[in-house]
Amino acid sequence: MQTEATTADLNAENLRRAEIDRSLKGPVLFLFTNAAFWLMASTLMGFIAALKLVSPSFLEYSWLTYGRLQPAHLMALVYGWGLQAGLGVALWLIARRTANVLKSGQGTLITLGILWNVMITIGVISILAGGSRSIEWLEFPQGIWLAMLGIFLAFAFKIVGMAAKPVRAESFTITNMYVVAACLCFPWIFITANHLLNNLELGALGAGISSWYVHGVILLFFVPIGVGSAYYFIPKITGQPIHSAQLANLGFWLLAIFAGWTGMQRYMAGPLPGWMTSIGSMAGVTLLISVGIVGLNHHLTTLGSHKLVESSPTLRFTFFGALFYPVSGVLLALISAFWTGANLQFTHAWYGYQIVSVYGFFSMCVFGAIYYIVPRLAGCEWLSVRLIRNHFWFSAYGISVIVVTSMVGGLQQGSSLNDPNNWNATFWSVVSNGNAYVAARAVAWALILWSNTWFLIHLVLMVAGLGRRSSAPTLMTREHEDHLPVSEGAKA
Amino acid sequence: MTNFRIFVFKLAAAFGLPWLFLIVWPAISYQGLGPVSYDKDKGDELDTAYWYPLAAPANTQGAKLYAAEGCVQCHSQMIRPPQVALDGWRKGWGQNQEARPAEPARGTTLRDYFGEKHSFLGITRGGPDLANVGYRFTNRTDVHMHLYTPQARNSWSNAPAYKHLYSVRKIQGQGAAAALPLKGTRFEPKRGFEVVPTAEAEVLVDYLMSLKRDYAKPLTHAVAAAPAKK
Repeated sequence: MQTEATTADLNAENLRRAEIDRSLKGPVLFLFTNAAFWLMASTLMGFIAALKLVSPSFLEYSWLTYGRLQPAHLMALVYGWGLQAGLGVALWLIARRTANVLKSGQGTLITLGILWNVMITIGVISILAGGSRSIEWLEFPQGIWLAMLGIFLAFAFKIVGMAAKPVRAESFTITNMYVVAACLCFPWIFITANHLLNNLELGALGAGISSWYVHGVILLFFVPIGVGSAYYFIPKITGQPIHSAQLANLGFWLLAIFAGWTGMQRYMAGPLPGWMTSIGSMAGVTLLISVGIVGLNHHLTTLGSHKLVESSPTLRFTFFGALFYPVSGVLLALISAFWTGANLQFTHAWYGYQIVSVYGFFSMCVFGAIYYIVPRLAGCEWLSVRLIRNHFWFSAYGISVIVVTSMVGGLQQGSSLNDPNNWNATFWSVVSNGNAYVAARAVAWALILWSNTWFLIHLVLMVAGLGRRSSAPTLMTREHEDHLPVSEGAKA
Repeated sequence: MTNFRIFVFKLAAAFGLPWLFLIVWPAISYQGLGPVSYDKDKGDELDTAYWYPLAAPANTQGAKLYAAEGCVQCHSQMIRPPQVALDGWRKGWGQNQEARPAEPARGTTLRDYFGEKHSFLGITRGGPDLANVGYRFTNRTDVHMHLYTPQARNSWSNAPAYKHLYSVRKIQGQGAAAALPLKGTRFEPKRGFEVVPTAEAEVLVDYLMSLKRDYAKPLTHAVAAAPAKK
């Protein structure tokens, strides 16, 4: 039973939202479309790289050797897709949370977005052409990091600025905390790692710092954006408030406190001072508490609304992503703890961890966000349920396969390396133990490539304004569509 | 507003602590770390005229090429001590090339990587460790053969062939001394042609041959570094 006043409020609220969406349309859609392109490029490179690991003479060109293709694949995934899509989601989330309209600077942001893509293109091409620096996740040539930093800061400035000056007083919530943390921590980590590794002679400590950088980007950029997005969309779609504000707070601060200590444990039992690897190991395992708390909170919020996971594309992707967050936490604990780490060190397990965090968890949450955001910005609805379903199942299946095979293959590889019975065996015994799993990885990337191609096409059609003209959202089970109360006002 | 400020301060404290103590402070104190001398009186084989590490794996050009080709994706350069893993016992991973060495290769230490801008400790072990590969190869031709046709040396190898570091050219006169001995293998070039390493391949091989870290380190280097306090 709505009274006159609340209807007016609701209308004002809807108009405000529409205004925010209109102001964000250009930059956010630009970021999403280009990110989706890089995702497809990265998937293609991942597919070829996995094939080349099994059969090195396949496509024997200098610029396609595994040593160049693998870093190019990950760099495209991290900077082309991850950071770009993450910034798009962050911008929209904060604008909506704080009810801020992006007043000016759309053109600048798009120009900077174009520059970002130029930088990534230069970087990826230079890796393939033989300019890789072999510092993990910092393989791009030295010259472009400052430009990348500047572009990131320009976006972060807008996002943090909105968060600092909310229109609604009550709006500094858990989503804002995560997103702001991501926007502040990434430049901090990026500057530190680039400055130290470019300008100082660090020897083995340099390897430790580069590993700290990778863990930092995962835990303090990808995780916050993914979790922040999940904290926004799960309550939004289910219509239930976040189950516990205390748990949400605790989960965030545990992450903020422990994430910075991780990284060095990758070189456990190596040349780094023992306390560094030990503290990394401790932090990697302790993060399980934070991960468990966030997982529990998401679970309790979703409880009773699981039917919506079936029908809402946003909730389905976000739910799957949120489900993969605990998985990534467990994987981190496994590769960090000394008793499992000795066998998982230097194996495919590390790749598994990178993919489960960047793709299984982060990207699935971002897909969920994109399925929600794009119709609101583009002014039309997703064209085809079948394409969304195709995207979901191939991605979910492919990622699960990559994660499982990387872990099992890594364990096989590592324990074979550490098996005293193999003292006289050639290195082939170690390699062959992992090979079947790498072949499975290639198949999985092929499936994901298929799904991503259609995702890109679908997204481009939406951005071009060729989506479905309808007031009802595209849902994944038909019967819901019929029940939806469609009012004339909602069409605006 | 104040809410937001407090949040930023708390975040800066939470992340600033590891940033300072795990990264910045060690990076600065590493700059002050120097070599330590051997001492015969304390049980070393060498006397105080010698310093550990004996030599840095020099050749920055070769290291650059090692990075550019992404060797680090599949080759580690880090030996874990025998109480953790079997790295040191694997054939050819240390100084002793016997199938069953009497002593395992020692674990690598921080000083073993002096002189490197950032070390290639490794990402995965798709191939064997290279921390001590300089002992494994006794001549340059073997390394060139591994780079040009990994499968010619070990049929099972899944290493990529770095053919672009070599040039195939017409034999002139008696042929180049550096030409690879590919005769009889399935990688043999056409009749009248030979495969010779480019300058790039040579510096890469220089670098690989210089990777020798499995020699005795000073027994008392930790004590020797600091004078006794009264």
